[in-house]
This record gives sequence, structure tokens and C-alpha cells, in this order.
Amino acid sequence: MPPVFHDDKCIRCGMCVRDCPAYILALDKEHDKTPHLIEEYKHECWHCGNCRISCPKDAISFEFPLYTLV
Amino acid sequence: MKSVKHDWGTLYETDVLILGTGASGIGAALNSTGKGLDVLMAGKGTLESSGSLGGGNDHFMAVLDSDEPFDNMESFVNFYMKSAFGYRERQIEQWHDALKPCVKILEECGVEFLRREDGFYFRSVGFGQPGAWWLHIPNGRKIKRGLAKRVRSMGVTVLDNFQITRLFKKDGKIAGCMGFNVLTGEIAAIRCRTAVNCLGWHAQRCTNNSSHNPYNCWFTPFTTGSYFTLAYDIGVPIVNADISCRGTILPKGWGAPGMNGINNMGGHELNALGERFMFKYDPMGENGIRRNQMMGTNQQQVEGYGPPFYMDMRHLNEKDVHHLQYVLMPADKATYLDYCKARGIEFSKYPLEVEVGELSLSGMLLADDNLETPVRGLYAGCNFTSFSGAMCGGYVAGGHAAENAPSLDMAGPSEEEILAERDRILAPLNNASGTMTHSDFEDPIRQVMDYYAKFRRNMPGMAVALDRLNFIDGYRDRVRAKNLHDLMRVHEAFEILELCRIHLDACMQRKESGRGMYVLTDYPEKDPALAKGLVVSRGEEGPVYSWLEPAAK
Repeated sequence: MPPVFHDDKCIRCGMCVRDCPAYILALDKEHDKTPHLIEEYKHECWHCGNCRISCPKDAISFEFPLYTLV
Repeated sequence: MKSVKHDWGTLYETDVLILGTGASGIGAALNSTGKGLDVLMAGKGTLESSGSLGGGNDHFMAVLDSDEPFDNMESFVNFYMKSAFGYRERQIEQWHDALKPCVKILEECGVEFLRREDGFYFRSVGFGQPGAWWLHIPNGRKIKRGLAKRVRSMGVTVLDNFQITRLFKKDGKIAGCMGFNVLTGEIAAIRCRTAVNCLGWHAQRCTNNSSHNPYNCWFTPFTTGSYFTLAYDIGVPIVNADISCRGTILPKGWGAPGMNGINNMGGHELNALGERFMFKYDPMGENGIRRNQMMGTNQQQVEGYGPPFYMDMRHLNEKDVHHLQYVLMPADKATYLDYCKARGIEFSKYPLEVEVGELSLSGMLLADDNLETPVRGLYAGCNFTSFSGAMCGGYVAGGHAAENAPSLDMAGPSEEEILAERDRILAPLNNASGTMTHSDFEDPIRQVMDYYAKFRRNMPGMAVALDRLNFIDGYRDRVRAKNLHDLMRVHEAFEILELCRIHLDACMQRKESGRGMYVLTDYPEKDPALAKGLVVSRGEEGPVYSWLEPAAK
């Protein structure tokens, strides 16, 4: 579910996490600071795209939840 | 900026306090900074992305005093004095005066406005207004970043990630606020001389749309009514908490703005039978006032002529339809084209399926000519509509807050008040015996609102709804936040509950239909005697009501 992070492009800068107004993204601090969507809060995504706007490497795409497609 | 660490958290002191960091907060910061005063803005999000503007915007309404029809202050003032109750002419005049400075600032911050071949701004008509007032913004996705960069460079102190939970007043004057950092949990109290309330006009998550995900809504779901509830708590009356509820037609299943662009570029709304029906409900059809489009579509649905409903743009010329889908819509919401791709939407080939969206709650804070509320030194920054109204309203309010600050005392909450509010803020986090999540508490609020108090309702039903909301309130002490994220949502849920109660009680005072975005089955007609604003104030034993006298114009 949105957003989807592309590891091959992500530079682990954390801007997506900083600018998510829902606070539903986090960095994997134990390993390589890869951003991820916190599963428990994924329904709080507004699909505003702030994470992608702030991403300097266009490393984020969106996968829309089923309830938006029916 | 003075700040002192205490055992309980941090105490800040500022001349001007800006509550909220969305478009309105930005406007307030731009016009209160650089005048020799400390300016502090605090908001739940991050300045670069907070509020409805964070994900972009494709239009800015601006009367520019050109030779074009209705492009002048008189038309602008007339329109707003007639279309809503509670505005004062001087307020709208100042909104007008702020338009050109704000357009200039936006351009300086990198915003491009579409221009005609003769070099002047291209503008279109919207929302039943008499003139073409809507500027088009092709690169609207990064507006908030540009504005934030400017504000940060001006020396404004910004407290990001700070959820404001309470305002304080002393001797009838604003004294400050308290809240907590949603990432660290740090408590802060802020003392001030004046404050501008910019906490957001559209309270979301009060009802559901067809997706039944309250976060999947028209405007940012993280504006949940604190603009009203926090001010109301310290004695600021709310105007039209009843009829100011709002909504829009949404792309099916997906919360997004953008319908203004589709309507004012000439989109046709069709029902399931392929009939264009909106002229039955508004003389300007789809491009009339939004209430009529919502209620007209809802009426068609009640009568069985939909769903589905569609916005048909296939008749537009190739250039316009491309501009609409590929320039304006993604400027209004940055993921619009992702949604289109996921659903196979192509405006030039197929009608866009749409739905009647959720109902958001709104109103305005009672304020004088200079947007000062009855709490001295507290200004209403979000009383005007749209991106233009938010930014200009903040700009006007911020200017007056700065002008007035030197003449008012620095005040703040007492130590006793600070400790009591700290305990209240953190109570859900420390509630080891609590058995309910914030969703367990918040979802039933929408269940009640959707069932008893949506687009068609009646007085007995609203009385039942109010009773059920009071029942939900009785479960407040059972809510537990397991982390700071949940704590933020718990306080949002409390705001939603309070605003829904204020709204319903206010609705029961106005025995008519035709002004709010709902129909009362037991009072189906518009009552000309009620063409005036309803004011609700917090009384010792519940809400106290009065009516504004009709405006002179």
C-alpha cells in the first residue's frame, strides 16, 4: 500500500519520513536507514504525495489500496 | 526567542504566537515578521509539508483590479457578504488588499501562474462567483516548500511536530498555549502577547465517504477541529457551526481536491442514465455553488438516478482536457496521476466516475473588523475560504497581531495550569488500565454522524445523535495510547467529538433547510427570517446562542 520505496534509487536521506504529515513512515535504524511504511498505520495515508515531493531521487511510487479502486 | 527548560518541559516566550503552520500560518508569519518582534509558529506537522497545501494546490483566487468584469473590490466584497453570514465588510476588504501582495510573494517563491497570450494572468470562474478570479498554478506541488523556505529565512522560530492541546487566557487576553512534540513527547508551554489562530478551517474525519477510511478524504485528515474547539474552550464564540459544514464531489473511492478545476473548465456531471442534471439545482450548473452540486447529486442518488455519477470532460478541446488532467489535477494533489493510472482514467476518453464525498465541519470564529476575536490579542487566521482565503486571512490577522503586540502584556499559563495540562495531555499514555484504542473511540463518532446526521436528517435524529455522542464521551477515560503516535490521534479524536457535538447542537437551533449542506426533513423550506449568522458561545451549563444581525449589504 502507498507509498512503495525503491531500494535501488533510495539514498536513505530520510526526507520522506520528515515530511510525512501522517507520521506513518520510519527509517530502519538498526540496519541501513531504509524508509518503510509502518504497517499498523498504513490506513492513515492520505496519498498526499509529500514523501515523493521531498524525495530527491524519485525513489517512491504509489500502490493504491483496493478500497480506492472499487 | 526566550526559552527556559523546566522539569515538566520547555517554556517559550514570544511576542507573536502563530498556532498552526499551514497556508494560513505561513500568511501570518509573512506579515508579522521583520517588525522587531519575536515570532514563533507551532504546528503538528513539518512546515514544508503541513496542512492541505502540503501536497500542492492548482488554483489561487485573486481579484486583481484589472479592467475585466467584476475584477474589483466592490464585486469581491459583495459576493462574500451575500454568500455567507458572519463576515464584515472591512474583513473582506482586507482580504482583497492582501491578494496582490500574496500573489507577489508566491511568484517570488517560485509559483508559476498560467498567463494568456497577452501576458496577463489567465483566470477562470468558479463557485458561482461573478468574475474570473481563479488563477491557475501549473507547478503547484512545491508551493509549500517555497513558502516554508522563505519563512525559515526570515528568522521565525518554528516548532515543528508540535500538537497544540490547549489555549490559555488571562484577564480576557490570550496568554499562550500548551502542547507536546509528537515525536519526542516533550511538553512545552508558550507565553505570548498576541496569537494568530491558524489551525485549519476544514475539520475532517467527522463523517465517512464510500471508502469508509476517514483518512481518505478531501482535505488533510490531520485537521480535526482544533481551530474551533481550542478557541471555544477559552470563550471565543463560533459563527455558523451549523450551516458551514462542507463537502465536495470526489473521484470515486478517493479523497482529493480538484473538482473546482473540472467544474470551471467546463466538465459536465452526468447521472447513471447519462443525463446532465445540475441545472435543476443551480442556474450555473456544475459551476455554481458547491453546496448545490453536493445536494443536487445527493438528491439524484436518493431518487435512484445514481450511483454511478460521472464528470464528463470528453467534449473539452484537446488542449484543455490535457491541461486539466496532466497539469492542474496533479498540482492539486500530487498523486492524482497515480490514481488515474491505477483506475485507467483518461479524461479525454472516458467520463470520470465521482461520488458525493464526506461531510467536513467548519464555521468561523467571531471576530471584529481586524479579525480579532473577543479574547483580546487572539486573531482568527482561518475565517476565509480556499488557499487564497487561508493565506490572505493569515496575512491580515498576522499583520494586526504584530501591530497590537507591543501594546499588550506578555502572559502565560501558571505553573499549576501547566502541570494540570501536562497530566491531561499524557493521561492516555499513562492509562495502564485503558482498554480502548483511539480508533475504538473515534470510529463510533463517525458511525453516529453518518447514520443520524449527514445530508438528510431531522431534529429527533440529531437529538439522538447528540445523546449518543455524549455517551461516547463517557468512554474518554478508557482510551489508551500505547505510543506518541496514538497519543496524537487520541487528542485529535477528542477534538472531533467536541466539534461534532457543537455542530449538532447548533443545527438544532436553526429550523430550516437550504443553507447548510444538509436537508432537515422536518423543516424542508428555507426561512427568510433566518438569513443571518448563528453564534454559539460556551456557557457554564452548555452552549449559549445568539444571532448576528443581517449584514447591511
